[in-house]
Amino acid sequence: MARQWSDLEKLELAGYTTDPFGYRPLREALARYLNRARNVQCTAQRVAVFGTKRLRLDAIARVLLNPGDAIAFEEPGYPEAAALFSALGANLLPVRVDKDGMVVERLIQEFDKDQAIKLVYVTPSHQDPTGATLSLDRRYRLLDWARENRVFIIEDDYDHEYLYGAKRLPSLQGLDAGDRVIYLSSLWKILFPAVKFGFMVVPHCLEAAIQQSKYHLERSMPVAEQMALADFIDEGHLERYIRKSQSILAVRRRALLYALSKHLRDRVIIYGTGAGTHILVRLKTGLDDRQVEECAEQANLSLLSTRPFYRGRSPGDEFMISFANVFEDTVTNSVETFGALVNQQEMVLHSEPGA
Amino acid sequence: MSIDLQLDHNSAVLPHRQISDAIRQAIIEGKLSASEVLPPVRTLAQRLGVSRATVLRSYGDLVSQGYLDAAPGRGTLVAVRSFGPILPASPEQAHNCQDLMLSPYGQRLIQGEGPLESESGLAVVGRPPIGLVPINLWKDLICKHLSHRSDRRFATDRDEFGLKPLREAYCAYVRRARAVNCAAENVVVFSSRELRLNLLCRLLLEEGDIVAVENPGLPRIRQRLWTEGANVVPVRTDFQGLDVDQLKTLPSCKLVYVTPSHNEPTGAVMSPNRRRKLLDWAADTGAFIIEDDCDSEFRYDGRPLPSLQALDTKGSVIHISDCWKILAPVLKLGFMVVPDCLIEPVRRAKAQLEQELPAIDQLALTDFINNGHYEKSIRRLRSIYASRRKTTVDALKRSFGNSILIAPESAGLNITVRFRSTMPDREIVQLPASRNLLMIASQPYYAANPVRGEFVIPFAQLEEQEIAEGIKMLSAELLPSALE
Repeated sequence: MARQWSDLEKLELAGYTTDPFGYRPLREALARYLNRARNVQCTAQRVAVFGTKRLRLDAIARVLLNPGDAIAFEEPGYPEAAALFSALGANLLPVRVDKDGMVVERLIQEFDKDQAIKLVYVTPSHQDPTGATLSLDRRYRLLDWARENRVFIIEDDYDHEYLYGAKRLPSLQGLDAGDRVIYLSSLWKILFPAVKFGFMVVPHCLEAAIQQSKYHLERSMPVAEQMALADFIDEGHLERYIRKSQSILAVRRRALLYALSKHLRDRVIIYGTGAGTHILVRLKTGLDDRQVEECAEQANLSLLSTRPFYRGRSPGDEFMISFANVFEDTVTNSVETFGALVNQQEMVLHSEPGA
Repeated sequence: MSIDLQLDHNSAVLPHRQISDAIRQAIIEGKLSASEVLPPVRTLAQRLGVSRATVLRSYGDLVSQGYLDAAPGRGTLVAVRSFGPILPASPEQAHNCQDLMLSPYGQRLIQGEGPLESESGLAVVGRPPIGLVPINLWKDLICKHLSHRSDRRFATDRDEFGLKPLREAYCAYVRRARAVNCAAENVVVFSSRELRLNLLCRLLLEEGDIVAVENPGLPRIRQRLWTEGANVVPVRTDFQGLDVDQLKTLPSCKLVYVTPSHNEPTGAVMSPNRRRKLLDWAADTGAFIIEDDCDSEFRYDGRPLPSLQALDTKGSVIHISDCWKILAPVLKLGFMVVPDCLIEPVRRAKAQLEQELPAIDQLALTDFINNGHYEKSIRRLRSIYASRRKTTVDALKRSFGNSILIAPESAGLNITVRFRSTMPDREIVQLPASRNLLMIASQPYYAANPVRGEFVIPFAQLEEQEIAEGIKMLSAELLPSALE
């Protein structure tokens, strides 16, 4: 980082407050990287760097949504985004997710006539919590529909970096010929907590509005981090680092899968394992979700119920288990302890009078 | 196959990726049509001089992505599906965006008056000079905390108000330096300075609510409040600060934005009497006061008055300040001290916008304040600025004598002057000397009726020699045009 610091002194007035979208060389590096990795089509002009991830959603939603406007949302889907849109007065329309991602056909059939939809929020690369990838066919359908109906699509490309065996599809943004996609990405999965920036690729037609909106949220950001990150990307460290951590994660993922099938056997159904840093499971226990989470916590297993991801009824017994911080040598123990704790809790329940 | 596939052997892109990219592109562009059969793997491999595995991999990728189908007995063919063009949207198409259906907020954003502030000279005024940032010290602190990776606060403290140690350090500092009456619980750390006002407007205002601002006063504040949907009412501000009597005549005012320690551009400090009246008014009406405590650090003639917040007993004042003038552009955190009644509402609103702030920056700033560097930096800057200011005033007096009026308040990073000249203001600011001095007309600070012949010189940006030479040059360029 030493070089960046000395550059800083030479920075002079070279625009550290002149562009609310951020430090230009970083935006150029990002435009190149996103094109390489995700087929994103843009120039640096349309790349915006935000200090935090949430501000991006806020900037878009405030520019486009009136209270009561509808936004199509994956069900189940990312709870933080749902909360943010709801707080801004938007009307969330849940659209079911299957193994090919958001059921776009349903969105088109059901909602087209009755209600004006301003925005679609979708996570095509790796849907949380299901792990589904939006199929190519649906990508095209969604884009065509959005173009015809003048709907904007927020493509949150969160968690696109890690894939295990599955094939990578180009981003929606890269397939969009209608200037409809607002592309979001971040390096949270890779560089958190050192780098918390969030990135946005803005469609041409929203450039002016988002630029103004950004100006009212954060006019400028610390420049040294932006310089360091630009070099980090341009010198190839980012992609190298992703490859390296992918192979580490793949080992951890295997260890977790092995431990689960060994110690929980027919209690567990594993699905959604193709990408990201967690797997999705259904656990058959006599306990409620909260109790299962408590057992996991005691066993040092990072497991979370998917309940917050559902706006409607959640199926229950569905959990995400993270393997980001799993160690091969301890995970078997954790899973075994977890299984024993669940058994124990079930016994307690059964022995209670009236149970 | 109706496309001409070429490999670039010097490219960083792997051959199998080059092949699949080219085929995908050809499908999307319609050069390969549905059901068209691709060359057998062996043939294409030979033609391109790559292994069969490479071609197999490309075909396999495209099959799993849905572009190709593998048909037993027939080979690999283009899938039957309509693929839209991949050409990125053209800018022409983009500018055809009359019917964007933006929200009222979005419409105000793009209708906003004129260019962004950063495109005008105003961005320079009020900015600290980069050369004076204590870079090496800051770097050491950052590196120290970056290497403490075991520090649990690094990942676990998720308080949306900021790290506790920083809030404590800042709390102690504003109590010491500005007599602000607060506990660490009242302190909120923001990742950007702009976010504070943005959040307060959403929390406190409905569209069309009256917000009073100083006139003259900071133009960006008027613009921001207007964008948030406020009905911005400029209130006369003289050498004693905001005229509270005029404020009282407003039908209903929810919020007032003041800079009691230093009004830009007049330099006025709000008098104790007016401060008292303003607080009484707020207590009576239930309005909130935003006290922007900018430049309180930079007074060159003795100790500043304590903050307005220090006199507030009713919880009407929201105090905002930041370390921007000391540490920009490396640190952009903003601080806000909220009255008890706003802690919970602000917490909820802030959780929607940012839940986690950069940990390293916060830890470094905590040390910076606790080790006394913060106040040391202020003292150092203050003495540099004081002498730059003195040079400016002396040079102005020497060159212009009685034909110039210099605002008397000795504070801030800028100096406001008036000359009488027959030359129009917009020509004066275009003079080479004015440009060297980064001088701008004070007109944007006025909501209405700007004062002709009034200018702002950001002396803190300039070395003393630059100031002296610039002013000499300015008088040479201006005097012939009949300064009366």
